[in-house]
Amino acid sequence: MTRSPYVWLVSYPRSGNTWLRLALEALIEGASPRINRQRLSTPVTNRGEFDELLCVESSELTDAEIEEARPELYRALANNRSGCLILRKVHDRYWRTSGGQAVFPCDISRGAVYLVRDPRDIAISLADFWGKSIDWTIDFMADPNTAIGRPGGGMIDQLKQPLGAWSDHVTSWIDNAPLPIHLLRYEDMLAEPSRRIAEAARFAGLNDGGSEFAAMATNFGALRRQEDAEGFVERPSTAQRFFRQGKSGAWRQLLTSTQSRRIERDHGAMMRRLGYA
Amino acid sequence: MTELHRYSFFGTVLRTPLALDVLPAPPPADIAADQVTLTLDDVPQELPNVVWSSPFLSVGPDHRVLVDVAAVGRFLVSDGREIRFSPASDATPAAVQSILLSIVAGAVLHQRGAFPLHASCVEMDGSAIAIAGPAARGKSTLAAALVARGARLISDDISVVQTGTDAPCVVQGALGMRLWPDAIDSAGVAPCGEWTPVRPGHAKHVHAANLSWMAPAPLRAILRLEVENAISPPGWRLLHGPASAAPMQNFIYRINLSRHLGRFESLCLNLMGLADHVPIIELRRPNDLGALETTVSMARDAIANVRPMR
Repeated sequence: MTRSPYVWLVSYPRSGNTWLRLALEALIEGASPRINRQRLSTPVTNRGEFDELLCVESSELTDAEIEEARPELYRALANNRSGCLILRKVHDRYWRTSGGQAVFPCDISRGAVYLVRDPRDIAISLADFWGKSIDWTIDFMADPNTAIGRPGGGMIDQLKQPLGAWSDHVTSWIDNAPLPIHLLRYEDMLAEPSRRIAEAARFAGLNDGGSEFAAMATNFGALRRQEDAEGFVERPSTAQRFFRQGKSGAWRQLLTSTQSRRIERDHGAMMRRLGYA
Repeated sequence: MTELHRYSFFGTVLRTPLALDVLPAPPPADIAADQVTLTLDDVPQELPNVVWSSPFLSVGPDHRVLVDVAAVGRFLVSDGREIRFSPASDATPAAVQSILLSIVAGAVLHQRGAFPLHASCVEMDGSAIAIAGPAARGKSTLAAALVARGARLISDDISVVQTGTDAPCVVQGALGMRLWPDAIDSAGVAPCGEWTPVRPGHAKHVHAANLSWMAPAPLRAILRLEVENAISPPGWRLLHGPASAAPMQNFIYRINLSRHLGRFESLCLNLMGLADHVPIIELRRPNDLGALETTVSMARDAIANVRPMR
């Protein structure tokens, strides 16, 4: 029997997903990854990929029609890979279409690595990344109806990806997704990168032998030096840097007490559960 | 008896009982053209012995294609000549036209063995300029901006190239400029007339360009549209060698469908042959619709400075 191909690499935006992908790539390849030539950089939900694989024009379809076809996009991609392991970046919350289909279907999923980060640090990083104020970002992270990609239309090459509030995003995957989940805290990956990369690799069914090399090859300084030297294609024009600080707890210096209290009020239960409060 | 309308349709004449408001007039009577016929008829819910399917489209072993969009209806496309259409009870003309001129047209063209670029195309100074690229690169927006500045639209999104003559030519296709609201504002085309949603409630809007017939136009250049990013600033450059036409899905309309219809290899040869005859220019636009004037200037500069190939 063929193993299900997908291990979803899931996170709320600005939670370390790029670092995790680069680390797993270094482990698989046994070579330092080039940030502008990532092998695991498959677009999250690229419209061109959707159109080509399903032989349609997503721009002529309604959001509801696209939504119902999302699971088939992943099946079509899997068919093209002949049962090989597929590590796929995801920012969506775990969700079902209005017709009741799981967007990330169980029958093609081995499981998901869910990478979580202190929401107070996310607020700082996301505000810088999108060129928004921290207060706007805190509101965004508390809004249950948020999405990235194409909410409502526009000339954007990503399909709509529902996020929901940060706490709901975490819950949707670690509590509600009927898949094996490997929960990985960004802060633990910073503290013990080799060990945490090895654990994620084993969960994905990979040989973890190269985890020390992967940790060294993708430490923050190495990634930042690459970005300084050649730029990073994934940095938006709104941000000065993609690889900003590579540390945890910056919120203590950068958030006002009102801002941090607001986040703790919005997400306190999940923060306590994850050891952030 | 139902009145039949006749339109130019990607190098053929489409005979249809449906009134379509973005297809050009048919060619003069003395110009021979193959016909494609659309009839309103029952269409089966599925094809027997399907060899490939997606949620909207399936291909039979005889290369018939069934397009099924529940809110619009089912289209059965055979031999690149026949379209049987069974509309949904609440299908609107706009929605039917939207699916007919995109997904269904792609099936017709691949069945016919046509050479469809995934490109919008405009006529400038008697020559065709194709603007190629995958979804959301801004092909239609740049084409509309050039139309607002005096060019004439030859086709939006799908541009069929005829290569049998001395020089590759582009034939008229669908002449609806189809833009998102932000692009309509930026392209400078908003005042030129009515824009209607491509489908009820859809954010994308369409506006018909000049619908009079025009002869095929010799293809002067292909602009391969890219978007600036943190390591590649806006600008243009002439591409050389085999890489200029890669990846193929950035040039050929629905290349994956061509595989299922047995057309992939010949389209590879078509594209490589075209790259020998027509300059391919990478045009990297600013990632800001507000800078569309810069994109237009770069496009004009590139076209003016790249010599035609023999």
